[in-house]
Amino acid sequence: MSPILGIYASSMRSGNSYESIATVTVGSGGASSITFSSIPSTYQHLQIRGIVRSNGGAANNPMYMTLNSDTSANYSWHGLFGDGASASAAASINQSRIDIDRIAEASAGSNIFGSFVTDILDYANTNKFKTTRNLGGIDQNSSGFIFFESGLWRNTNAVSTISFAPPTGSFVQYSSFALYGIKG
Amino acid sequence: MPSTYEPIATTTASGSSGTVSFTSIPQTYTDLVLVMQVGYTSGSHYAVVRANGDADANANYGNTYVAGDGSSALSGRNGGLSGFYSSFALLGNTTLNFISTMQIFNYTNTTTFKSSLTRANLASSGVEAVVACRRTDTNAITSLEIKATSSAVYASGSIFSLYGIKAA
Repeated sequence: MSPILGIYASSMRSGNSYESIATVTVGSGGASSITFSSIPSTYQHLQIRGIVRSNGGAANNPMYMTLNSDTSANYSWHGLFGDGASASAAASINQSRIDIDRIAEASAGSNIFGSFVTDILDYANTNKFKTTRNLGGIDQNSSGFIFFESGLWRNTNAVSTISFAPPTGSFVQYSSFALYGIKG
Repeated sequence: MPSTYEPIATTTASGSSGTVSFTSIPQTYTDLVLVMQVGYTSGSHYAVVRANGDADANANYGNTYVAGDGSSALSGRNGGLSGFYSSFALLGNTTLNFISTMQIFNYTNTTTFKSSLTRANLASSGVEAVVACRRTDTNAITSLEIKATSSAVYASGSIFSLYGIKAA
């Protein structure tokens, strides 16, 4: 499948406060990344919801989110997470992406996917840096991981493109990413 | 684009039962959101969300949580559960101050185990996030039963609302 998905404002319908913009469900060939592009600036906030699994990695790691194809060190994030044994906090600054914790990888049991909900607030405002929040996790019977996270992209441009990539390998079939717009 | 965050059903407890059921859930959405504000007529209990008629014997759910109780943060996990739990570190009590929002993802697909993400709050005790997985089978979810533990009864006014979110 094509890793690029275009979204055009002309296809949008008005009158609803929470609207589906586009969805990518990974096919049998997998996908090294997925991208929502040409996101209309007609909403107040964006939300991305999904279930995710990749074929890479021995452990279960975060996937990476970038905005407007910016891969410079303009991102930071802070998080509170639990691994089933203890709660911890972590942060990372001057990163080339925002980490979205955590997805299932090759070591996860069959049919198990990580899940996440990510919000991008006031994404079309050109006067402020963009902030995100994420709730995500995976439980695979013998272990699990749950993550609260905030993210920052130090750029005032309106967000028009959102990309996700696994840390290694490719997203596997049935991984699904759904982008929604929330009106103010 | 479709309107996509829609109410499916709401039930308000009368104070005589510890079970709330949503049956014949439409298969036309992508995700479900279950919002609860719950209290019990006595004691402190959990609300267990069971899919497709799962009973105690269907101990194929697991969860991992992180919580804060006002003085410290903690995390734990549990296997062999009979349902998605509305929380695990937080016990609802006789007040109606326990609130929970559970996201159930891709509930109609028949190829993956179903997972949920929940945020729960009890003003008197703390906050919590829970990720859970139902490994019973990959069937689509067509019904949900929210059952109080230990045969407890939901207090009058407890409210359970189910919403559907449809992806394009």
